[in-house]
Amino acid sequence: MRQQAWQQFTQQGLPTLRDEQWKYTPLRMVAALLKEEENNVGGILNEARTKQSNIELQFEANSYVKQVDFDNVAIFNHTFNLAEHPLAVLNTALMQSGVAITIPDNTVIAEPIVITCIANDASAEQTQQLRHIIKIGVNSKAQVIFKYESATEKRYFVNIVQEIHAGENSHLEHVIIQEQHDDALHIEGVHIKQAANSIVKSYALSKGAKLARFDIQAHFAAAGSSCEMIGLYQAKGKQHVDFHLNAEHKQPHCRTKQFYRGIVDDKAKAVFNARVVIHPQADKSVSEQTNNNLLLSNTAEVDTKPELEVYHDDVKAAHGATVGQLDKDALFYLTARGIQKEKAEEMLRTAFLSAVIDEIDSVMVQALFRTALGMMEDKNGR
Amino acid sequence: MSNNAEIKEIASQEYQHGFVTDIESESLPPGLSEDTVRAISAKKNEPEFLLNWRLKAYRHWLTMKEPKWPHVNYPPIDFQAISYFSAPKSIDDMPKSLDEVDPELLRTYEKLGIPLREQEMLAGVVAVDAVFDSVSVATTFKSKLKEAGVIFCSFSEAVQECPELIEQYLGSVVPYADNYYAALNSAVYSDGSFVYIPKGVRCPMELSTYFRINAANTGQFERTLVIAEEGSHVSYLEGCTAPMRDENQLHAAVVELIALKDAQIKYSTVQNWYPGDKDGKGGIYNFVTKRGDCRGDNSKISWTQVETGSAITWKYPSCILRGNNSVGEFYSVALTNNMQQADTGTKMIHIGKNTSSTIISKGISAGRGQNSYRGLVKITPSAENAKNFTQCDSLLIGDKCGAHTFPYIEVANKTAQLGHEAATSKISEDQLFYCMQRGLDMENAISMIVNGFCKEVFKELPMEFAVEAQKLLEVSLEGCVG
Amino acid sequence: MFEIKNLHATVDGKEVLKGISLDIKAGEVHAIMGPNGSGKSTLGNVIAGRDGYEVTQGEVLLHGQNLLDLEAHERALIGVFLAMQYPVEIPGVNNMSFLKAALNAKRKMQGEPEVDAFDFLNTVKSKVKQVNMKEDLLYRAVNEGFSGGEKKRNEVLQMLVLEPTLAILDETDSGLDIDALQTVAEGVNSLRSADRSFIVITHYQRLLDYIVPDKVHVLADGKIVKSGDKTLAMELEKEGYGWVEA
Repeated sequence: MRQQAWQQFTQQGLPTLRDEQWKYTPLRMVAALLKEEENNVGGILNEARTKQSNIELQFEANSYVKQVDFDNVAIFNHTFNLAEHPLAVLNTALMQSGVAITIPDNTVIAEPIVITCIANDASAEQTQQLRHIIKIGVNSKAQVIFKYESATEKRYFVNIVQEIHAGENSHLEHVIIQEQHDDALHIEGVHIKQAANSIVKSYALSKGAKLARFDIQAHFAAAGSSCEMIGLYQAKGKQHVDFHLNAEHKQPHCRTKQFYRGIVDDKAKAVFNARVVIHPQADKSVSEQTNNNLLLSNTAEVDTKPELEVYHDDVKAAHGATVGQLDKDALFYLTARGIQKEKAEEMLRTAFLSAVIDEIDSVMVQALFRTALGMMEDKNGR
Repeated sequence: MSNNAEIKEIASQEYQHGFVTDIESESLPPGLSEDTVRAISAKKNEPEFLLNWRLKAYRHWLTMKEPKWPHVNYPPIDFQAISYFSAPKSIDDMPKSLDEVDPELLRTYEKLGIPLREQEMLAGVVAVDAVFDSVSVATTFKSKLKEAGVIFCSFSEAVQECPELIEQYLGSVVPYADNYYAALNSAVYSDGSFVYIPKGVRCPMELSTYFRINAANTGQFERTLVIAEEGSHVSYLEGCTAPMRDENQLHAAVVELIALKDAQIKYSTVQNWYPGDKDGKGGIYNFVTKRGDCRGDNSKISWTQVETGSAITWKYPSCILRGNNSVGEFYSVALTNNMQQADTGTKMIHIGKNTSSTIISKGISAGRGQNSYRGLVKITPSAENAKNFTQCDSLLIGDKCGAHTFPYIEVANKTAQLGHEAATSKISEDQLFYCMQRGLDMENAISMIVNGFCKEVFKELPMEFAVEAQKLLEVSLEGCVG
Repeated sequence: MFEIKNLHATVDGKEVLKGISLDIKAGEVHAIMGPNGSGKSTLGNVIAGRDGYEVTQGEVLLHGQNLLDLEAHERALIGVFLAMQYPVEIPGVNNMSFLKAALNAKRKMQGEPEVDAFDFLNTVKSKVKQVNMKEDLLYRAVNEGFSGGEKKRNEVLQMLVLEPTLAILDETDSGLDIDALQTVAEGVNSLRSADRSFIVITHYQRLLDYIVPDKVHVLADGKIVKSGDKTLAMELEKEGYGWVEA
């Protein structure tokens, strides 16, 4: 499997700006770090199976949460189409570590499962490839939180693939909090396959890394499922953040909600591409896409593209996108009441992001997001 | 007729030598090469610079690939099978009266309320000029326009009469290397229209009426150039609500608009080329490049289009908002029924300060039609205080059609304010029942709701065309239910 | 003139009308009262031919013609008018042109020429006054952004213009203050004539103070459980629906 994937990867290479899915996100820096692997392929492919990733995975191991067993090749690449994801091909060839979360049927896990992934100096020596596999059994419920952090100043590249199987009637809250140092390169694909009547809520926050690219995809394998994708991004300095969301409605009575907001400052760039496809047989589909951006500097850039492909008339679908700046009238109002300009701006930025945080069900996740964003007060001013 | 084959043979022989001088046939045999390009240019007695331009375009075209990104499907086009220059059809082939015209076509004309004489012209009935007073009408118009200093003529005439304007402006908005079909058009365009409005002049009439009478036979590689000098105004309408008889399957037109300081151009299109039959056989491929350049400060370009025809439509009338305070608008209704496919939208490129743009797009899909909105709003770093509002709505009629939205929004200036709204829905059963309970049958109810859906766009059309456009939608939607 | 014989209807397989019979003579006004969910609105919708209801048994006859064989618009054209409980908004469709299209559809069926635009405007304007509606609503999209009361007045306006044979008022009184209620009632009363019948569906008796019915029927659980004259309505007002629901 690894050989085959590596061959495939060397043939097609990294995606370029000519590739519609990568139109706004160049991978020059990733390519530079990959050079070494390419020069030392044989060694690395052999090593990959035995040598763990230099990303430290911290979690409480128990009967539900374990390291992924990479010898069991049958468990990989089931929730997405490998041909569409060149970085997942690379990951398939070189994947080293990851967590396997398996929740049996009819099980409710009350405590959140937290996985902290910490990069260290050694992470810069070669590319880091993580593969996480999550299976939620029938009627089961769980909350899984991934935190990405850095304990190094060096540039490294981490390429992650998450495969999520949500069983019938299951309920998963899936959280990503990305707060790595400003020189990290982070690419992550989250591929969700949902059985009938399952509910998946994906909450993502990206504020670290030089380059952060997320592909979050929901595939409804049966009727009655719903997927919420809610997230925030903050980019400043020379950061580049890119979210690609995708939901394919191939079954009746499924619902998608995509709601993202971002703040982009300095020379940073944010890319947002949400796509919902409603296929002919997907009766009673409901989809809603919203993307709002605050652009705070003239050297920053936002490229947003909320796409909708509808092949069926029995749908309700809407999307909206805005790009703007802080409301001048509101700013004046606050300063006229004696609030310092910087403080007033911060209040408005907080208010802008809070609208997204308020959509999150879990109070705990709300608090995590607020802390990560440095918001001192919650929405009630406490 | 019997010597037609002979003529063709002679023509093709001469073609092999690189010259086509056969006056009788006035046509080039199918095929595309540098010789074809030279032959077209020679026939039109074009100045050297134009020939060179065509050749550069042709050479560049050879290096390009047909675009694959539009959301449409069609079999590959054989560019060697197309005849790139043909004079009007032989008189022998043309119908002698309306009795010889396809009754289906006549039925449609009647529904649209098109006057008999115009029907004859549209259906290509022979020697219409003899019975129709188009010449005198044209003369009246021409003198009125001439008085105002407006130049409005065929592109070929303009090449002879004001080559300096052509040399200055041709390709300045859509360069020959812009895209595959623009390059092809630049190499082989046959004719088209030319409009020049001098400084400070408000064009005394809609350039529509005249156009409708005179320029029905526009050819398949049409080239239009509209220049509005400082402070001038012009409203131009192309196309026709009536389905036109046409033998060419591929249409690749290029339209360039230039608005200088304080100038305004309003360009309206009603496109109703043959859409093909119910199974998608036949039908026109309409691959068009339309772009306006708001070159001067305070200039404004407004595109309005009603697209109901063609098997495949692929067009993005765009505005480059270069001048400060310039304004770009795009209002569009695109309808696809049966097997039609449309991939249409606009690009608004904000460069100047305080520029603003509005996009209102209404897509209607019925039958097995596929309708895509594809738009780009780009705010460059220099575009201080740019504003854009975009609304693109889709209406679905029937469960086998598709409606798609691909809006690209690229912003690199923090003072920009952009809003994009879109909704996709079907005609609600409640609305239908309400109309039917008041006595309207299903088709009337649908057409009433559809016209309501499109209202914001129709009100941008010149009055008489708004009425015709409504009728056109009704006719185009016929048989979409039941 | 209008007759319902043993009408049964289901929605999503569930029976909501369980054998209704009614006989309304020309010129009569019948009130249908009943608690929520008793099938009142369903009855109106079934008569008018709304999709989503399956008639499993029975007949609905207007001048001897079975309405159930006809499409919704055909029923409208022979004189069935349903003033809806929740009038639908139709964005972009001008109220005036909607009214004109409906009237012309009727005239066409009757073999009459299209209405003269000038005459039509005058007629409509006088009727707008009659229902005390703001004239600018005529030039707005059908019901779009209308208040609840404006929507109801608009329904009555359409009724006045279309002059139906059988008018069904489905909770036309809901959401109306007392002034509006009186205007609406006056509009209806002005149409009362020997060759026109009304079905007034309502939850409350107060509308019947202004539109005095010839007969009152109480509908409960898809059946007419009691019929009487206008005093029955007053009884209901006093005692509530408890006794029919029990």
